[in-house]
Amino acid sequence: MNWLIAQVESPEPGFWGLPHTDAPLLTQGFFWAIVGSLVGMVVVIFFLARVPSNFRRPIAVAFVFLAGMFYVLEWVLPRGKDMSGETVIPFLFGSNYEDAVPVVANLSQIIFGLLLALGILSIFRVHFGRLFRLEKDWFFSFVLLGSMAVMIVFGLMNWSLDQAVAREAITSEQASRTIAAQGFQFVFFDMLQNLDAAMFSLIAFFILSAAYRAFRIKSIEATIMMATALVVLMSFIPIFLAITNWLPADQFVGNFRVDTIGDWILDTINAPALRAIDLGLGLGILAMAIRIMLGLERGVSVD
Amino acid sequence: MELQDYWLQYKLEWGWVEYGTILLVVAFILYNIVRAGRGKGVTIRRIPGLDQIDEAVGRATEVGRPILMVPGLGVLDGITVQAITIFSSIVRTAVRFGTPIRLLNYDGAVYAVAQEIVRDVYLSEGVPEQFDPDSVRFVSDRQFAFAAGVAGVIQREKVAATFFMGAFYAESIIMAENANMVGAIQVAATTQFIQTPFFIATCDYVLLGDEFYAASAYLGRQPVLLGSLVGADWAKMVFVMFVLIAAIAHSFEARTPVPADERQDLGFADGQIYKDRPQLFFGKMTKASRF
Amino acid sequence: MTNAEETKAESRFWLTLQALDRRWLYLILVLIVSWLVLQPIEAPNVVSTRSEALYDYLSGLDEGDVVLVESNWTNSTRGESRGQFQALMRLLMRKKIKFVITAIADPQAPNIAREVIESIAKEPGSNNYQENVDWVMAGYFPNGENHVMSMVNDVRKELATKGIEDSPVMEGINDLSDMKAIINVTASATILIWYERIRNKAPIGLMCTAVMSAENIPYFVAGQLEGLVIGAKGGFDFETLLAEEFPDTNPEFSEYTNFESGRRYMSPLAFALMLLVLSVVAGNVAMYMLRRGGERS
Repeated sequence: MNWLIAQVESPEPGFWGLPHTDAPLLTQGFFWAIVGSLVGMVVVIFFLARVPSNFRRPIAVAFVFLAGMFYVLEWVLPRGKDMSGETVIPFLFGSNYEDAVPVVANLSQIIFGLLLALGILSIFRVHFGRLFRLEKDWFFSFVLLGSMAVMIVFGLMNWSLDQAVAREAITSEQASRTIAAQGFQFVFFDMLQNLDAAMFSLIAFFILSAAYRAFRIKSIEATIMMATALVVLMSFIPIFLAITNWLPADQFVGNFRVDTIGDWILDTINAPALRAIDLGLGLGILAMAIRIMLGLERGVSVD
Repeated sequence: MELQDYWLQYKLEWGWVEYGTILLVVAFILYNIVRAGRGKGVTIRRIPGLDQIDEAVGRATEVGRPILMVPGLGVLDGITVQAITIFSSIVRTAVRFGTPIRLLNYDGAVYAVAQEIVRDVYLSEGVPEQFDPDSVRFVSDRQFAFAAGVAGVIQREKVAATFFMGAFYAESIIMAENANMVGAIQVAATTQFIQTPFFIATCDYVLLGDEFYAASAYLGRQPVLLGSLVGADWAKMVFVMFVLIAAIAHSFEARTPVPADERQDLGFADGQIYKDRPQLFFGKMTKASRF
Repeated sequence: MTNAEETKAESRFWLTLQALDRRWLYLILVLIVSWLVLQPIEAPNVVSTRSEALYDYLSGLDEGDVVLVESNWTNSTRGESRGQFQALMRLLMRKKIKFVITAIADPQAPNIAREVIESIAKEPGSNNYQENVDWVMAGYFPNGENHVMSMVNDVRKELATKGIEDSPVMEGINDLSDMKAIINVTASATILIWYERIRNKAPIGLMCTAVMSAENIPYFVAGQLEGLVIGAKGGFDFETLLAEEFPDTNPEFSEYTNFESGRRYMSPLAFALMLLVLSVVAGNVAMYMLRRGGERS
């Protein structure tokens, strides 16, 4: 969860963001906003639980519709500044619609963050279970849980060091000499980053074996595809480019340069085909979004 | 600046074509949903990948090994929701055959939703006691750690069938090639179309492009959902017409000489008067020929 | 050996070649790549028009212009992205173009970018680039969609969340349109957000991995991208163009480093691709021979 690591951006003061002050907590607006939303949430849940079951679905669909419309309107309603940079008069409780977007986005991130805990519980259940029962492959579970513990410990220690540096309790020089920082350097940068790179490099092997197995000329279409693929491949390899490099690029014979043919295939054949697929995907997701927002898509929405 | 001035400027600079087009498409879709709801018969062509689901699950039952489902690397968005909808239909078949399932997740929120939906399927089939909470798992939210975790499950449990559906990136071929090694029947669909070639090379059936979005309508056979597909097809026809008109207009423009004083700005070569460069059949893209 | 035995041995050979154990392919690939990483073969380059378009645009900017560089790559794709990023940094520093670094794909990306920038800033020709004077690190923004939207709406307000809006680099930048370019060095689908949100405020340049090229070429053809630098070859293209502009034959530039990762990774890549082509051809020849043998008997 990358976004958990970074700080949440605080909105500008206004309807969507209350000012930060050093006033006592009980006099601060944001404190009462939090308390109010908690109480409101409890009340909403209380009433939802009492709603007759045939009304639950319309209520859920209405929520989905409103939530969906929120992001649709973002594209249509005015922004804080117009094209020339001039400020537009705020029209929504004294703020702009765009001020609301980060707040709502952060809200959904907080919900997702809470759900991550469920995921971690799932990991614990699967792997502790296997470890305690000493099932087949229990050792892998042990490695997983062990690595997780090490990463969490060093991550937290390193984070508290960063905090200390930020408070100017210690200098960053001193911090980098501690075991915590060096341990974090080892597990994160020296190990995890390189393991990521190693996993990524596996793709080269898998592409090779998949291409060897799958690229068989069994029909005219396969032959055309193979020839096209070869030309495009060659146009990305300088050694092959060198074969036709001596042909003058802006005369008729320039048509037969490997790079010219490769570029032509990519720009003139590949690009329109991809545009067509992209258009289909765009329309598909639009149709699906409408189905979800109107509650027509069964199975996922509450039934 | 006042609001109405803003609207005026917005209209002048950006036009209403994009909004008009989207409203038109939405209207097509809604109209066809209503039409289909009134009982106007709608048929769609067969999608081989989706027809194979029963066979793949049946084969897994025969060999007594689990089926694997992965809803991609997306967060809980429309694409992932669609993947889970398809999976719920696959799980239903698996429950009827009594085949064990594995549904591996990349995102905590997707995991929570998937868990509930799979549980619901078992419940609606009348066998809630057969639901194993560990069959739906969260693996990792780091791309390659996730790929390694999925590859590990594939290799250790020798899964008999795999269904990769959703947003996949570079990890697609790692997972699919591992499944190929253990001889699994594979059905895949991704909205990241640059990954589609990798799936085609490794999987038995691949849903192309928007077939993925048609899947829930196809599997559910609900007329209302099929109506939305017809609406999207109407929109495609309109776009094809746009493209044809634009292509003809552009061809005329390309054969109209550009005034001498504009040629320099467009980066024309000496002696070039047209926007395209007819002396090269495989014309190289220059700044001038691009727009 | 009798005729029948000969035919049998021959067909066994073709059978093996048709269904070669994948581990042999993997072994050959490891050997070829390891050898060529250690002993690169240098080949002349033919620069792609797509890379050249971005290079020419950036090279034509004035001293003191500001560009936004969104660095969205980490170590997993360093084979492709590192070469591109290094060449880009060299060009910007030599031309004294100021830059702001942001990242939306991975929280580690700023650290990795900083490492590269700091080592290149010490090189001859890099005009002794200083952080917070000539370039500034905005860091990682967790919600990419939000970040891009806010950058387009109000660049100062968005960068103020990282406290860099008053950096000397940001002088004269009141709107995104004051920046001369947005360059996305990326290994994930981050560029799509910019296509959707940019509202024509600044030209976009893209440096992406090779697998992403097909997806982005339509945007280059349509003119939405100023230039497109693809994969390891793109990095090599940029280095070649640097060497053309700052040749080491010129005494003024003799100490400059033009070639690094881009050229080094070119020959392993080229030979790995050749192995791919060869294995596909071998598989097809074997299939053809077996089919012909089957027809004969």
